[in-house]
Amino acid sequence: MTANVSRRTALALAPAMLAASSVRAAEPPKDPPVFRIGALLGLTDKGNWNATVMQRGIMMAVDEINAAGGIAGIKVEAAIEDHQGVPRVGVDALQRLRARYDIQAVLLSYSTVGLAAAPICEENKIFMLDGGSVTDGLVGKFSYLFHNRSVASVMARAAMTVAKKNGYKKMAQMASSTDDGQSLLRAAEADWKAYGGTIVGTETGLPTASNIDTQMAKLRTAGGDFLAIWEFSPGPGLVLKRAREFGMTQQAIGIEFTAEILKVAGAHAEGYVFATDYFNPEAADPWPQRFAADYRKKYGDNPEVYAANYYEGIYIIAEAIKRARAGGGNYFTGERLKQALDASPVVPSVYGGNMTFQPDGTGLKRVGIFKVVDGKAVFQNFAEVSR
Amino acid sequence: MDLVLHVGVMICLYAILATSFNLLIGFSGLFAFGHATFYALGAYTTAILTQRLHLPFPIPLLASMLLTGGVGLAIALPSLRISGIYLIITTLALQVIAIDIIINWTSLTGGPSGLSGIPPLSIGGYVLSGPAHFLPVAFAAAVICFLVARHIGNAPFGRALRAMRENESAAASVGKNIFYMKVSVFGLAAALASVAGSLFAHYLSYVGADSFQVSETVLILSMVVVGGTGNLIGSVVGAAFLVLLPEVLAFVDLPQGFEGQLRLLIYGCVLILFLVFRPEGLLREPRRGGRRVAAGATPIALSTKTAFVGPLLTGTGLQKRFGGIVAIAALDISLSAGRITGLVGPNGAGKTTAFNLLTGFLRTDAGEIRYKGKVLSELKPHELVRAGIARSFQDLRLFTGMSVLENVLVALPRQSGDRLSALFLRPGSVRREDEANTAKAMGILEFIGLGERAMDLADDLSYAEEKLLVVARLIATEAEVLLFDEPLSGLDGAAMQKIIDLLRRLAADGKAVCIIEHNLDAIRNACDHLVYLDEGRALAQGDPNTLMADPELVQRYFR
Repeated sequence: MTANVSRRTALALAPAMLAASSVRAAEPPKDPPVFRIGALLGLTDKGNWNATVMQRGIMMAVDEINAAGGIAGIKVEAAIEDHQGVPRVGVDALQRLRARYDIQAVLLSYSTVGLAAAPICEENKIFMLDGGSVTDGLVGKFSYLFHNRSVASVMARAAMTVAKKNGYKKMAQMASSTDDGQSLLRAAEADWKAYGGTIVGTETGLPTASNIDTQMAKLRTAGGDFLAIWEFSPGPGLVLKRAREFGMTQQAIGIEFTAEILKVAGAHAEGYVFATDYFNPEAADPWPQRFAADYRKKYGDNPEVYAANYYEGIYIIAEAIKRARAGGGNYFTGERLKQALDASPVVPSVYGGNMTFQPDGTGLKRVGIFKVVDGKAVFQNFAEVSR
Repeated sequence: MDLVLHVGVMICLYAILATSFNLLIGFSGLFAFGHATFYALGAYTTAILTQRLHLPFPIPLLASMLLTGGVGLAIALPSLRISGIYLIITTLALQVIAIDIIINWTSLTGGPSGLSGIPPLSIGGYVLSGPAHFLPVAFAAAVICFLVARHIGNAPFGRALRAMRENESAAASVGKNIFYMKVSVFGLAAALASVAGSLFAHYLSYVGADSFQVSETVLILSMVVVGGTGNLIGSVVGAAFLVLLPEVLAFVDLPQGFEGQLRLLIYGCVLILFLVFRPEGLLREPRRGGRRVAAGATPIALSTKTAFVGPLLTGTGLQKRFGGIVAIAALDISLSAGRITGLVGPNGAGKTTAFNLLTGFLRTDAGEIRYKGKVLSELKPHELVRAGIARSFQDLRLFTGMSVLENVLVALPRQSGDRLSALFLRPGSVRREDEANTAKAMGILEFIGLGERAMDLADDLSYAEEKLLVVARLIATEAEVLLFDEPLSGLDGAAMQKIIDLLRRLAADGKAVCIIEHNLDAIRNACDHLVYLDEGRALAQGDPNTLMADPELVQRYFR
């Protein structure tokens, strides 16, 4: 609550800050030799697939910006550290980034690592951007933390629009026993109950579990008009595969679809419907198109939400740097980057158009409903979800 | 600077964890792989009490220690029945269960989300937030925990733990209460680990199950092994080494895209190379021989002339079956003061089983054991030693990783330093008593002829010296009934005669001595009385020369 107030206060004071910026403009910008942006990724965690694509997205953005001459002629560098999915290791890594580079901006991933690292960033006024976790646990608690991925409360409700539209009444659900998975579960249950639906079965499993047969057998027995999957890559792949192999034919609805999920689920992914931040590699918007084409060329894969968010994250920070620099003085600080976004919370998005940061730090993005057809995600419609 | 301070904090916390874990595996030989559970309990207890009940320091810390210590006592129970690989598996399973409970008890623990926003440590209104403020507290806690562990490790209790590590049954045979030692050391190690957990919760302001997985126990174990098991300074060094290693590797530039994996690979390779070339760890287990006392400083007083009239130890109608096999059918035996009784018979006659029954290592199916007229059938081995009945083993079971002096010292009875309460409440008295005991142990070694070898490892003794040490250890128990299982086997004439002379001296001083022996010449030479055992029965008893002239017994013996 305190953080919300402080962010709202900051927004209210935005004109004054802009004025202050103009005063500062009299002072020439103190340019650093390089803009170094930190990132904490689970490079050696068990489910490190998403860290790999996050890293790809980050490096692509850095390369692009530098190829275009950097920011005001200054190169951008990414300093990526491994948190292994362990909060304590994440804190170690963050302290290294601070000691080695006096890092002013950092990209976070994994909610539990974020929960451990964010207080340190907050205390030391380091700008944070999280494009990976969807937990509500991080929302509104840290004034230096911004999110460019829709959070659980949005994603779950977006997914539930499909169930409501199809007239389903009974939900069976399988959730990851992680912070993110449980956040989605809580948000979905609240929304579904408010709608008047019933929950016939709830099962949870470790994100790295290779055997979920007990859970699937219980969900099959429970029935349900649809199967909600509150898991992250590659979890939904295994759920889809085993559900179909167990003879469950009802509609499966989730919040993520990646190449990894497709690899695990194979043909069983067909017909799977999911809600996600609307990233469409085939979109007409030139930026998503260019990003998707370059990504495919470089890595041979279609980019998905993680690659896109961390690619976008570098651009968001670059945009904040540009705006802060315009204010002159010692501008490359977490404080000034935050102020820059608080003062003007609208930034270009690789998802097309602009993204607007809300007072609680979450980026307002369009959430799309997609359906897997012939192994590809086919856009269906935008989910109407109020914030 | 914050990185250096942060690394310092982490070294302190892991030093606490490693030293406490070393008490379990290095000192006690209890390979319990659930140390991260204690760490987690300390962290969660502090988090909950601080965040929800707003209890001030040091209440959450003390509560964490009490609760975790209590859980440690409970986890000790499986170790009373199992050991080795089975204890590893059981405690690993307990850790997995603990993590499952943490993840699923959402209302208390926050479930997978954990608990965030834990207030920083506040002492006397001074808030210790950030590494710079926290390091002195972490350092002080690490020093206190280290001193506690060292105090225990160097005390009679620590010596008893190491004896238990070397051989549990031998430790019981010299009067050590295995149940008390296991339960105490588990509780203590758990309570110390919870200190690290409690500080961790305040320092990170977040606790989640991800921080306390099995991999964390493996990390702490690695610290103990790298530092050197049984060496508490080694645990601190091991903690520092394994906290610093990844930090150093992080400063090595590696190809982008694989740096995380490569660093982990290098880390693993360094550990493997380390264990291959330095398996004993950075620091070896220190020699804790005790302070050498000048030869002859304390003359030994063996005399135990008892006022009790009649046999000191009697077994009447003893029976023992192992399934369908009758090991002891109906044994009557009596051991008198001042007499050496020989227990002879062919292999499988039930001689060692008879010893096991008389010393509480096996329970009788029927029959009665009396010591000085009192029924003692229900007593445990260590209780029987304290009552006055001690035994040796055919395979010696010396505490080979301990010094000769310690082998004797650990066997001395009524050591107040065997109890944790006395160690902390009356440390001065314990120290003085231990000094007196050391002198007494030296006296026994001088008497036995091993005075010059007092500070050597028992493992370095010759076979004859090992046999002598067995006698010394039994003498140290001050028991009145001494049962020797094949004390003369494998010895040459001179060594054999030396031990026979010792046994005679013990009997002359009022001990009831009983030996199992196969060397008939030695029996004739040593024993005053013979019990011929076969098929679990005493077939004959009497004068050795008479019995050994009986052709039927000879035929049975050599058949």
